[in-house]
Amino acid sequence: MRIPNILQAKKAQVIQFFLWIIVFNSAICVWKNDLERNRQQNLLQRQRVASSGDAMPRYDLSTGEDTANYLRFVPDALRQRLIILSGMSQMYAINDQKDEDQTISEWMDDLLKASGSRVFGLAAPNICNEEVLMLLLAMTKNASTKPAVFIYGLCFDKFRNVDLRPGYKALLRSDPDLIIKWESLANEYRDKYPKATDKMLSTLKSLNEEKKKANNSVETDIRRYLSKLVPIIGARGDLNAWFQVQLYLLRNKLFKIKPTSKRPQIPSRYQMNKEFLALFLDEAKEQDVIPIIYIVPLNPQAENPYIPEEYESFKTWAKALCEEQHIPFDNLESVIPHEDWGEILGGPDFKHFRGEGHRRTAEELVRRFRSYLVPN
Amino acid sequence: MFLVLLIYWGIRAKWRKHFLILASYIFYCSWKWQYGFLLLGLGVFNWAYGRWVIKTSGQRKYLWPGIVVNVSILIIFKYAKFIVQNISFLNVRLGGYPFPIPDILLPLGISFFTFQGVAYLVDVASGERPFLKLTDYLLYKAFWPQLIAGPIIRPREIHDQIENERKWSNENIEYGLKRILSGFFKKVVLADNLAPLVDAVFLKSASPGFIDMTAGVLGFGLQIYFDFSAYSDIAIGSARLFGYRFPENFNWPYLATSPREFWSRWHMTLSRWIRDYLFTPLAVSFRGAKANILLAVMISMGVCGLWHGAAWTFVIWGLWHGVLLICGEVLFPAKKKRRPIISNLIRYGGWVFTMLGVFIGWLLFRAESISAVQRIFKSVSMAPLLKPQLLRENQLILVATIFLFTFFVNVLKTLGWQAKMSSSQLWLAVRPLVMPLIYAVAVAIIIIADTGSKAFVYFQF
Repeated sequence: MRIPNILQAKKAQVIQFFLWIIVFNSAICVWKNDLERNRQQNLLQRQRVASSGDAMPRYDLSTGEDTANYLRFVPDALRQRLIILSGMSQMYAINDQKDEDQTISEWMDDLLKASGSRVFGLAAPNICNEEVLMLLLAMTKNASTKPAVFIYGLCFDKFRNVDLRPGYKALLRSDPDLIIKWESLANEYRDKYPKATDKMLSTLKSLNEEKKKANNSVETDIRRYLSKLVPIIGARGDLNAWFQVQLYLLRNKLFKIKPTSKRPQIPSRYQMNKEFLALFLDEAKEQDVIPIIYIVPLNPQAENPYIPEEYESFKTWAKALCEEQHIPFDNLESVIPHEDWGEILGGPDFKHFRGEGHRRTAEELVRRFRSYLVPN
Repeated sequence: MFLVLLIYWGIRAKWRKHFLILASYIFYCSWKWQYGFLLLGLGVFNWAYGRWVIKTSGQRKYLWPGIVVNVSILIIFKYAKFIVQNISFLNVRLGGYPFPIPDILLPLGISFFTFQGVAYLVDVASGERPFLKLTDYLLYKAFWPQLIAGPIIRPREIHDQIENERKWSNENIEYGLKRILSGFFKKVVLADNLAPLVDAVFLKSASPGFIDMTAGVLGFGLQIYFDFSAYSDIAIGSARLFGYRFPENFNWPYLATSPREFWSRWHMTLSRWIRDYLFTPLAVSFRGAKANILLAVMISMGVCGLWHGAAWTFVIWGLWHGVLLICGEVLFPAKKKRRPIISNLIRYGGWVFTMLGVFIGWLLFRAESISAVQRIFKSVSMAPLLKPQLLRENQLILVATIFLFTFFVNVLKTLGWQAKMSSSQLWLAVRPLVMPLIYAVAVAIIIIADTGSKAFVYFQF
């Protein structure tokens, strides 16, 4: 067999090329190790918080990245009244975290456990209504995870987001029954909620394409094998995420965008999220689940990115929708005093509070919706 | 491919063609093995028909049955559903019942290999020498880099290469790897990142505003260019690794200063197929009057549109380009002697006209149906002009960045910077040090960007 000599012509350049690749991989190894160490620390901290009352996690610690793995910790709905609390990062992020701090769902669980109700948190950063609908379907599919109550904290700026994150897509993809349910729901409500259901079908289409790709065993196997062998391939998901964050930061710097910069709603996305919320409520009722909607607390003294008229109109719409459908609703916008909020980027954080804020929110939720949360 | 390449150059020269045919069929059958027989059957038919019927008889009248076989297969697999749908629609309109719609899975690359078959038979009938050996023809037909999405190779471009032994050359390997790298960069980093926002704008339930539609159409124009030219780069580069030279398929199409020039730069192997095997015969048979030539242009471009997909949007897209070609010839006629300022004005005016026409055409091309186009226009007309209704700021920035990058590279090309740089002493001195770094960075970026790669757009044709 004749072995071709590729290095003959431009040997030095080829060697340089491979040297650069080795340099990149070494740098990525160091970066990845740092990242893993930080993650481990965060996880330990979260685990410690989670285990302060119970041995098991009481919310999805992966915050949407690996939800399927955390569903096994959901209290058995056949044995007690199960309450799901869902929403954005406010549900689990704790500013200036202390050892005794807990998240909203954990405080609620502590408050309600004695009366026979258990609470589990399913939150993720920037969660959108399509994702909350998917969580509802995932939970109601099995009797053991079917909640009696599903609480959803509405956050106005999350109505700018659409699509399922990779972790939730994985959850949907992994369960054929859930996919069937997703599709039949989309078809059932096609006329009533055209935007939302069209998006659901589009999600399904992209899911099928990804599934086909994942089933391409040779390519997948090669990728898996190489990802173990070559650091840059193994870390590409993280690198991609890091790169995206850098692009966001660059964008913010170039266009002087701050977390509190006024940003109008994007009409089409807003309408789609409105439809998703209405569909979520319809489906919850259909499944004999009590949906509870509340407007999430905001820091009263911090600037927020909302345009006041838009935000007012949103609250009015949400309230009217819930009233019309006889859904328990309340506005918790101003229940957390300024001192319970932390800081972000050198200014007051308008959306995430300290540990005390979590406790107060949990207490308010239990107080205002007690009749739905405690079994008769 | 790496394994095939190693074996290919490792085995005796006389087995290489057979090995490539085998590898190509394994590649094709890995998608749906039954259609491998279609490819093989059509290959054997075209070879035998060209070799024994057309060449031996020496009569052009025997050409037509061969063309009919190729086109019929294309019609059955690609257009049967479309035809039945339309007849059924008309029948319902006339008070009848709808017909059952056949559900036929489109064989990968059928538009390419049937057009290639027609080109072969026509060329043989016109005096080109046919492939004498079946294996040579099967390789011409099934050689995997061009099988799925072209370039559409004419027999004379590859005849000698197939018949003669391919020799290993370091230059070929270097060139092939560079083209493949360039293709992956265009596909994974540029085209795939544009896809989600384009999909969002063209989603059935989306209500885009003017800004969103503009970004969506610009984004799609860039996406399809990067996507398809990426495929061509990878095909040309892969073929070169095996010692074969494929014709180019793209030549900076967005630099075109007239619609005619656009079609000589965009999907060049298809446009030349349309010109040589459809437009020219039509124009010759219609003869004489200018109106007939215009009719030939419109028919050719209509067929070109239909070739891209069995839907009226594609037909209208093709006809739209027919209109653009005619208008382009009227508004910007090619005259040799003009004052430079006039010449430049016409050139820039022609570029603006061409790009406007081409990008408006992309809207028709990407929309799922005519009603989708109507819906988009209705939504745009109802929304505030300059307020995005759908896309986020970062998506708009992404389109703008890729557009400006493409524009900048095109301007550099126009100014001849590539040639200037190649002759600069400084560049020549640093090039050996800089190029390996550039290639390494490109590889790293491709790896990082490739977290959810998508199928090539042109696979569907």
